[in-house]
Amino acid sequence: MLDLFETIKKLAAIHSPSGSETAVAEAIADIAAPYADEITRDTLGNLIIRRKGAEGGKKIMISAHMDSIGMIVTHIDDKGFLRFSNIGGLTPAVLLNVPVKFADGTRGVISKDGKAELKDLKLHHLYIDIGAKSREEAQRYVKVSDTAVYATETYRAGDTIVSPYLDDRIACVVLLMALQSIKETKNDLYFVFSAQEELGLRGARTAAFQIEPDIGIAVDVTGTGDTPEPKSHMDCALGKGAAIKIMDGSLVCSPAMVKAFENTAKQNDIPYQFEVLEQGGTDAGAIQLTKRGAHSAAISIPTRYVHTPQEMCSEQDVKSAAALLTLFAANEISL
Amino acid sequence: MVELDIVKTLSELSGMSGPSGFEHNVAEHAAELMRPFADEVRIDRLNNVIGIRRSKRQDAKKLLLSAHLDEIGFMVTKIEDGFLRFRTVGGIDERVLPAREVTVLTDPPIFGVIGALPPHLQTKEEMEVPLPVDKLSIDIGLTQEEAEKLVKIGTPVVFREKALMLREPYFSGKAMDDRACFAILLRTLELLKDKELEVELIIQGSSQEELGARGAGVGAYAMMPDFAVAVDVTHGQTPDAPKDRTFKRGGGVPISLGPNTNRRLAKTLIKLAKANEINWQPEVMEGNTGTDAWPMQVVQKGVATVVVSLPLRYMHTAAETINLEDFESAAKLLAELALNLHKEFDAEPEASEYVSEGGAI
Amino acid sequence: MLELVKKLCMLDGVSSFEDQVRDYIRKRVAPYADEIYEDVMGNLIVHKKGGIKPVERIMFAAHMDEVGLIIKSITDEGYLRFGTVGGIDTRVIIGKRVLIGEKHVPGVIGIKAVHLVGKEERKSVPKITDMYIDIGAKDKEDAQKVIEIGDYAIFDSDPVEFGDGFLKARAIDDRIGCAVMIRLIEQGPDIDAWYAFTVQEEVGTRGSGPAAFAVGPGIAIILEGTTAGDMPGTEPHRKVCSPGKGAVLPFMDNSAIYDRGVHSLLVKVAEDNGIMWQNKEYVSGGTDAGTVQRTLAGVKVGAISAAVRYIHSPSCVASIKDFEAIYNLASEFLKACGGIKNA
Repeated sequence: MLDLFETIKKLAAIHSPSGSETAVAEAIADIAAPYADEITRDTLGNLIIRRKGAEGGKKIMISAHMDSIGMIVTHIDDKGFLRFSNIGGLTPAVLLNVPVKFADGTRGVISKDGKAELKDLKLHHLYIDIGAKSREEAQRYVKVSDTAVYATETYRAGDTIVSPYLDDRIACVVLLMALQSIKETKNDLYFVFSAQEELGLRGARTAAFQIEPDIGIAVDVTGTGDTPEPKSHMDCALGKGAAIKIMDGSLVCSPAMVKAFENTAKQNDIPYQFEVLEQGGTDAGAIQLTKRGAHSAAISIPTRYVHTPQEMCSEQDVKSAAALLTLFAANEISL
Repeated sequence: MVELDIVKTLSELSGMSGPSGFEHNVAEHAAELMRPFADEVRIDRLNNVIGIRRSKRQDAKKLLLSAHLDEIGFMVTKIEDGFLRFRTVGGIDERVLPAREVTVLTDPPIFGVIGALPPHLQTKEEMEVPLPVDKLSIDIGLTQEEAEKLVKIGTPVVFREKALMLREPYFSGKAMDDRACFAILLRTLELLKDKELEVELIIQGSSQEELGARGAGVGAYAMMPDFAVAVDVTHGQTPDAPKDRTFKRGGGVPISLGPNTNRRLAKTLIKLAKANEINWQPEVMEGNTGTDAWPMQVVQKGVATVVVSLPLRYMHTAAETINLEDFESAAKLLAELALNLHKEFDAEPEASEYVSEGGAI
Repeated sequence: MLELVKKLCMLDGVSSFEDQVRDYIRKRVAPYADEIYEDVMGNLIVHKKGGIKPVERIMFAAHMDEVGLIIKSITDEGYLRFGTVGGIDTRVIIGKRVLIGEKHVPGVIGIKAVHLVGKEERKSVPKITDMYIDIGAKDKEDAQKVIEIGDYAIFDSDPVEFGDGFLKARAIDDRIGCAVMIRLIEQGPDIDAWYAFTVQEEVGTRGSGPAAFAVGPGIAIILEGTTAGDMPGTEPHRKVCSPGKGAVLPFMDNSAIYDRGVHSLLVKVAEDNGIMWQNKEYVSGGTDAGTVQRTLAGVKVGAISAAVRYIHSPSCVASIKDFEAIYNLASEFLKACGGIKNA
């Protein structure tokens, strides 16, 4: 069985923002290979790992996205500073003074136009400084369309895991844990490590079209309401268990599936909580509306500081999520 | 011989609780209401209800009429001192919330009131601004412990309002958007009851429209109609609304024009309205009509769509008010469409100019 | 090529009213097409079987529609209330002349004279719902003699060549794409390809989904117009691209991250054949590519665009020599897909 912490540490460090998922796909495929009946990579870059089930079971697509948010270089100015745009949801204020890295290891720091005001900060006020003195020097290391990701650490403090890109690499770990734990399955399982989720659930849409599942389950991170003076009334917290999603910006989870998750958790003493996210979205939203529709729901990992260089979750919650997913997916389902 | 009691049907549909994503009970009831008129009725995975009236004709084209069964509502996000914090599901007018009665959809349901701060605890300035949702909570009259036992995070909530007739022919209640239009579809089915159809008629009670017309595309994908009509509500005229963007009672059935509308289908409807002395008026929508027609138009290789509307006052409040004469005009027009659509397309000359394979796959 | 673009820019084609453009294109390309049909949304789909069939099905796409206006109601005094079809900055239409419907009834987009406007009011931009079109009608009945509710209106803007090889016209976005595809069908390499002249791109890339669903391409190249911001006062990193600097090859915009393999091949083909090309140095806007990419089980998408200043206004400006570059690149790319390399 994989080592949870070592695996997230490895995956979180891999340079794979939306559109450039090959590196992390290869690492995941390596870990998954001994447990897979079929491995494919499709047109949009989704990595699909199939575990065949017995006759008469349900076809389930289980999705965790392997892409991360990041930055894409759009312009190199004559002094060697790099202008960039966002890949996925970036908040300018979050990026100030953040260390970043490119695929080849080149490192830089994000800063802002001196005259730009903090309260009106936009992405086009920001730039990446890789320490080059001129455009020519910068172009030896970076070209327009290169991507950068957060260059921060993954570490553990008791039950807490702190890392960039828990969204959604920690869910990829959950899928791998389930893949390894499931010995026999009643259902036909497609573990989809999806591409380009951060740009709007793009990979999941085409993967679901191809697979045409009866049931879709997304595993993703969700927010919490357990930090000082939280803006929203979200009753979700680190350490209270796997979060069963009721609703977010992309879907209302199938009430029948929510009930089924709850029953599975109760019957097996798996700590769980419910979560309602005001905005946000997961692959489950895309799967739900594919072709003739699928019963869709999501299991979430409560996570603080999502989309920042240091996200935080509870290792216990991750284990609970993996346990819930394993028991639900492998056994007979009636909705 | 089934005789639809329109007011009774509207009251029943209004009284049901089915916010977006939680339509199962409403779908089952809607299926029962359709059964006397349809050859086949089923409910799909997203709780769309589909009723089919087949045609004896082999090459019959498919006409789908869609009205959504979900209503706007709320969802419990947290329990605080026995009160329920909530978020909205669908676009609710927040100004109608203070002192609003609601039904919390536990099993069995619980009565609640969305609280309002008493006037003597607020400043004059504070009272001139609507209260944002995150400052409101639902009072169910219980302690924290009692509330936690009965209510889970994620429990849906709906307006509590009993539908009734105002002065005839006005009818008012919650969820007239869009169950009144589903009732129009039932009335349309009744008008067609013993008549032969040259089209396969599909009636869809769609789900999750208030969250972005989510159910309709899925329902249409499975049925793959040639033509689809979204029957939805539009803004009825009131003294304080711009006259050029609202529709008055008796002004005629609004028929859509614009990119989300197939021009030929719209012209066919207009022709039928004129021929049958049904008053009609154009409703120009320059982009997304905000109805089931938007996703239905681009399903697979495309569908010819149009929107037929029912003027409704006070949209997205619990006091949605419709005119039963407008209701009947719309039903008549849709019945005429079902009976005569084939004539428009049977007369189609062979597309001789092109070598048409009608699709490459 | 220039004459073809100018001709196309004079046809009316507001989203969902693409008839004139579609009729013209169909008449021109039908003699060269092996299959040609109009689908239910109005897309014109053309298949030209070439001598060589590439391993993956190739589809080119360009949209026939342009942004414009649609008449929503007529006031008692005979003024027309309207809505915008597609994304138009309301500031560019004030005081402009429009032509309404097939009969081209002339009108002006009215607003009260600046002398009558208070200082505060002058600082704000009027809303569309406050604007109106004046066709000089006496009253509602008079207007109804020539106008119908639901009529479209186009900007009154003829193509004008000016400056150092520039063209001003309405609808350069995306008649330039249509022109390139027409020429590819009539004179392009003898290689099997599909051509989708799509509708309603400007109101949400609506036609491209059904078109791609029917064609089922492996690779799709979108031919488009894209925003050039190369005006004085714009910071260098927001100029995006520039007319005259060649075909724009975007790697990402708001609708799609273009397939890296296709993008690299486009760059390589451009370099190998000495065709001028430029990056799109900003992530903005969207094209049919997004919808096509996520159709069926996924499509590899790329784009070749023309840099257009003042896009979505009555006065779009593009460089004439860019048109040739775009055509040449599309043509050489098609050859490359067919396995033909130039010596």
